[in-house]
Amino acid sequence: MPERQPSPSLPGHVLLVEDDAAVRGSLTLLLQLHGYATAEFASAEAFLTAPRPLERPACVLADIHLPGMSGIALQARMVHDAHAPPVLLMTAQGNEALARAALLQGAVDFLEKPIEEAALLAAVAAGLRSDLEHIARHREHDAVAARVGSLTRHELALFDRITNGLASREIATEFGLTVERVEQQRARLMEKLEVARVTDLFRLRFRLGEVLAERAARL
Amino acid sequence: MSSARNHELPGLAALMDAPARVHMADAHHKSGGPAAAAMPFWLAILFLAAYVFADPATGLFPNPRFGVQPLSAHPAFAIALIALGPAKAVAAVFAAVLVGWALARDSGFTLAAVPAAAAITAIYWLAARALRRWARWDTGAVRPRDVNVLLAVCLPAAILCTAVDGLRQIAGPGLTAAALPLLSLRLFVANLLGLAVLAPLLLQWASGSWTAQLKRIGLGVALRELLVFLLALGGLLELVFGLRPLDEFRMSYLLFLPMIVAAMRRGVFGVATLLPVVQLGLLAALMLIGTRAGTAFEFQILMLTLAIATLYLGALSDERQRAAASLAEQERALRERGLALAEAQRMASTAELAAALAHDLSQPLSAIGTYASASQVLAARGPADHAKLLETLEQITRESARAGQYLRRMRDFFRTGSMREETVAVAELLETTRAHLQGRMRRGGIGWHLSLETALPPVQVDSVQIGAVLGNLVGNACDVLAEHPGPRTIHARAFVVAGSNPALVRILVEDSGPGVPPELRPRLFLPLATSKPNGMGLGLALSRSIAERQGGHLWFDDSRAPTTFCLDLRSHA
Repeated sequence: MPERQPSPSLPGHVLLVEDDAAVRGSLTLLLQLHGYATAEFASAEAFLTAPRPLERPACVLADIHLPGMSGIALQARMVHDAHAPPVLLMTAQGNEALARAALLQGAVDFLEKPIEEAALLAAVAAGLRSDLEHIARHREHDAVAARVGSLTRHELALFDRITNGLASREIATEFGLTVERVEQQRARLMEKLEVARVTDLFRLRFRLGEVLAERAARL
Repeated sequence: MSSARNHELPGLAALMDAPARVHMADAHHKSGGPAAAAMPFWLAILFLAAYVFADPATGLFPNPRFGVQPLSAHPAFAIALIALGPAKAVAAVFAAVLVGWALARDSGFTLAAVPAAAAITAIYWLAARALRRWARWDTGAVRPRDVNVLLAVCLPAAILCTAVDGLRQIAGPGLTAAALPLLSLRLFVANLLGLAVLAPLLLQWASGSWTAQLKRIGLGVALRELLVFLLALGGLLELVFGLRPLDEFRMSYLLFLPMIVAAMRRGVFGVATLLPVVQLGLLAALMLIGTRAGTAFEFQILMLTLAIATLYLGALSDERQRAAASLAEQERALRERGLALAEAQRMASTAELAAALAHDLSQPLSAIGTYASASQVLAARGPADHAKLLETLEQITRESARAGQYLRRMRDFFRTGSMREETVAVAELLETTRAHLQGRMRRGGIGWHLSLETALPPVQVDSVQIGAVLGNLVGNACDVLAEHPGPRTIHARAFVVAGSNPALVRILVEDSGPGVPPELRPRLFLPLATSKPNGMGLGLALSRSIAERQGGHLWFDDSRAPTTFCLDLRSHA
């Protein structure tokens, strides 16, 4: 018998959405034995109406064939929610077309029943890692958005000119200021945005682009 | 022998009419008859010799009644040779015409014969071309249309030959213009008769299709049949000309009988082969026994009629046989297609069965696998988790029992695989279903209503399988209603479908549940559509294929307000 790991390298919550009580119960037991916290839902609807916010990191393990809303439909819905955890799908039928569609749609993995323990643990670990990255990226994006949001209109214009590669002299001419005054204002801008070097301003602008693109995509 | 001869003559291929051979192969391809081989060289020589000597030979019959020869055998040889022989046969025929005239006993051979011989050769050539162009005498599949073409070609050829020959004889010595009309008429009939009697056989022989058909029938069988025919013919000739109960011309129609039998039995092949035999027999009888009644001309016309009538009969008989063969072939193909279709349907229902079974079994199997993995973890942890381990092992036992139950249900469902049709009352079927699901209905607080049309005929079904279908429908309704807050009733109705013949009995299973979600409706009858937690899960797909295998039909009526499934069954006529 191989050595068992009582607690996983990456702890987290597994949210089970499965209509078959025995399958649900066995998965809960096994995941708990491996140190994961679990929550059980008998249908997609039950999962969606569960109290929020969810504890993170988390991943959803959903059966494709559910009464009412299917696992695929649930996953499609959660892809559009920026704060939703990733979805792992499982099915009783080997259906490659279904699996490909689910993966293209953004599912993390596709497990075929009967599910092997190693495959289950690997998929759950990958799902939780993906959720952690997701959360981290979100936090950074939120921070960037918050810092940029605190700028005044003038500071925002200054930020725009600097990150477009304009020299202080050119900016001074445009705004009718002295070069010294522009450099003073740039120091204040960097202080407000919590960056140490001018190159960090460029990195920040790039992140801002990412945030805007992601929010636009969610609309 | 012919092949040895071919080797000795390297230039032979050049003698062959290449385009004609292509055409012949083409014709064979279209008609599907036996292969028409190119005319062997020795046969061409034989035909030429026959041409040269046929004319003087017919003159050997010393019967004064005929005046001229009773039939002209030689044009048929010439036409068959040009139609199917080597390209240079035309020149050879031209020479043979001259030689034939030179050998004839009483003809004063002059130079004036040369243009006449050219004209005769041209007539043969035209007739041969016309036959090749419009008829298929060089194949084993001669149609009535080919007989039409043969007669349409032979008639003008006989007229033209007679005209040229008559002119030549007038130009030559020893004949007066006054004798010409009578001589011409006799010559014409002799020419036409010769062509009608001999051309079918010679055309088939020259093309090789005669030999091919002989091989197909078998030499032994052919000889036996020929012997029977000869005995019959001899007997009839003896009766008509020897015993002579009436005058011989009035009795001569009896000669039709063996030819009709031959035509019906062996088609054009038999007719073509035996016409010359009958002709010879008739001539021999006339020569040896003689006749007191009828003129030679009357016997010629009789023979011509016999030839034409039996050729058509033979062609029709062949055509009928070909049609029968093609019909048998079509029927065979149709039967094979039907078998393939049945096989495909069986495969489809097997696939449905396998899909449903896989779906049902994968749930308990998956649970068992996961519980077993958990047991390993628990066992490795030591005695503290002993109670939990036992509990998990118990779960495994329970799940394997559940899997076994699915398998048993499946086996019951298909019992022996073969259907056992019986006559059952619809009320009995529905009562069995109700009794079977009584417990579930009571637990779920579900009401059961039954409305049966009066004088409902019994149905002709396998009651166990149809019982399972009804059990599936009512069981589905129970599952849905158990989780439904409102009124919980199942209404089973049965009536005869108006205007159905033979009468169909329709059973409706309605429930007061929330109805089938619209997105599920299109795939309701697909194997994967069932995903209920505790259902038998065999699915409506299987129920439908069972219903259809018993001549019935199962569908979901989405036009009705309460959830309604309809099952049509054949009534006992």
